[in-house]
Amino acid sequence: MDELINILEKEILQNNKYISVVDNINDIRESLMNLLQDNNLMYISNENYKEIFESSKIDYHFDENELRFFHEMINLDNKMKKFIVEEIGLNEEQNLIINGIKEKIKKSIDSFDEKKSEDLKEKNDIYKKLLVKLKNNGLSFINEFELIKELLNKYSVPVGKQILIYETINSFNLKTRDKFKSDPEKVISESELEDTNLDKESVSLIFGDYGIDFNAIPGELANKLLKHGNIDKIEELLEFIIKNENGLKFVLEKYDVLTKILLYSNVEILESIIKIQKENGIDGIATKLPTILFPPVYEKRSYYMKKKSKEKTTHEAEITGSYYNFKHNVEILNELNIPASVVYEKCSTFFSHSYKNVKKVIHNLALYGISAINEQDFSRTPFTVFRTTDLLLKNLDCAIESGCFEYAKGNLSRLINNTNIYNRVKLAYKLSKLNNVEFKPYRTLKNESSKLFLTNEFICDVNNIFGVTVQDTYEMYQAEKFNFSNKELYDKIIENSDNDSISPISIEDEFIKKLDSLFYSEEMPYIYNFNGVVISRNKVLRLYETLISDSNIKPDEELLLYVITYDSMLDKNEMENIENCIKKIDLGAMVKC
Amino acid sequence: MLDDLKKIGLEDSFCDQMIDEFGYDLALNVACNYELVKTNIETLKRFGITNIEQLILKKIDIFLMDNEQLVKRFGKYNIPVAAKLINEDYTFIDDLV
Repeated sequence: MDELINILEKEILQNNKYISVVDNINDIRESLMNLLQDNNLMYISNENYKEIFESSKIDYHFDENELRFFHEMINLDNKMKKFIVEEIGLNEEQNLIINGIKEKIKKSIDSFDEKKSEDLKEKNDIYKKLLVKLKNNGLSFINEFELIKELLNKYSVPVGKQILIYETINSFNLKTRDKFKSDPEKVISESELEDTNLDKESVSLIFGDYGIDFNAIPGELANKLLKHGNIDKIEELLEFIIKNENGLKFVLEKYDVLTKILLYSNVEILESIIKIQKENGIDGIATKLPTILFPPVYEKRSYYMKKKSKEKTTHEAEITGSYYNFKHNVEILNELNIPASVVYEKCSTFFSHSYKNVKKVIHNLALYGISAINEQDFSRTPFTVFRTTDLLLKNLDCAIESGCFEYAKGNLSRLINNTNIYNRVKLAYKLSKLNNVEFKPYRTLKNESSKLFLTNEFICDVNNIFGVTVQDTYEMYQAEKFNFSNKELYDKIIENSDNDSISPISIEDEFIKKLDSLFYSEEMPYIYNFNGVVISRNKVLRLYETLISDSNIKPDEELLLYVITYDSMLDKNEMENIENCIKKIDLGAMVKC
Repeated sequence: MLDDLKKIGLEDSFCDQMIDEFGYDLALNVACNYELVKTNIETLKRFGITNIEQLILKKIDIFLMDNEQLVKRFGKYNIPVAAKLINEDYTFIDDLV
């Protein structure tokens, strides 16, 4: 599948080059046509030459003589040019050169077709959608086979490999079909349960046989059991639970959990949990995390909050039940060769984290060269980091831009929540430079530990002199923001995306390659340095990739500035620095077709 | 029941904070273990740790450890010094426990 993905990425990049050339021609068409008239070429200025030829994406294939002609013309003043044209006249050689240049200009313009450019834009849309489908291989493929066949033949992929690719795609389709039929891991809601309307007396008798006083169960829970419970299933489950060797008897007094087990779980699930516990040396985990005993369910929870009015507070439906998270998280640990028992000792709640999130965190940290797991000592891994979601990447970028990347790497648990720590450090650094004061943000520990610990003046949220809230710190920093004409569109796309993909789509992009050549150094990975202003390179790449993967977005200077300054605390001076750096790139001077 | 969070012995308003921080599923697990959490809170207070609520929100796993295990881990260190470090910066507990 990698081969097909690489082919698609190549096609998209090549098409983008053609499209950007056509866009470029459209921008300078009038100037080009003007140059073809009379002797206008002779009067070309340095600025015109730079705009039309040097900055252009088109390769006109000018030879040495033609380039020398341009060089001589742009260095002559207009009086001399007029004298040559009108008094002396051009000789045969000069006329040949000028006509040659005009022919090459015409040829270059004619070889790029606007209709083809529009077709390629449509093709790229289809390629991008297919790419997304292939990377998120849970989706179905119906109409794409002809296109895939065409691409594989174009790149002469051997028949054997082609067959493998089709087999893989077919397997995606089968998975999707099966999922559509019945997803065992989907979240169940109470409304899906059958109404059985059990007789209270009968149920009480059964519960009594297992030592449970049915009348002690809170009314709401008891009513659910009576409305939706299945007598045979209830008996089967209670029989399993009371067996000492299963270690589940504690659940008989946890009525909320017991009700959910009896309504939504089954003996197979409980058996599976006991087996996993035994195989992985994590006996007793169900007592710490009883919700692993049933699959995910939607539940409207009500929680009594003691307010002045003593009102009952009811909340929206939420999901509880982490059997599949438990099962898959143990699988993830096994794949990583990490003993589940070590994790259980250190962080039992890890097993109930969303396993999809665990995978995402591992992937996202790897983007920044960070191993989620402490390979020297598993037990020192801050497993709470797996509880985080979107804030992880945002906090990492903020740490990088504040010079706190090493700190963040050693304190992963500081990445999981909204935090203003890194902004405060950046502000303190700025103030120390202004006031010529020593800047020492880290504690010096007697044991000379290599791990960094920020001093309390940055960590403490209460009455912090560097700002309690992000807004406070931004104000003290005198932070400003650019006004982008497409901000609303960009914001919407970013907010609706995970923004965690960095692939050749961004890395091989001409704009990014230009940024890399001027502002990136392998000696200081993960940053762009715009004349002293540090920006997280990963932030730029992943946001840029999200945006240019959208068919409505055309890469330009504004887009670059948007991704570079996104969520960055920058004052006016820094903004100007970045803007000047981007302007110097001269975005027209890209790799020529 | 989720209401068992109150039996931990902290302010009712903090219980709501716990639910918001943990999400329903984890909050229910903590509620089911309120006795253990309460015991571990008492132990940490005896050690001299004062930022209990911050630790609960950020490091709930400490409070779900078996009490003997918790005491044993702290026993490796000079407890007053460890408590002082944790009171200043709760992330110190990552290195200790």
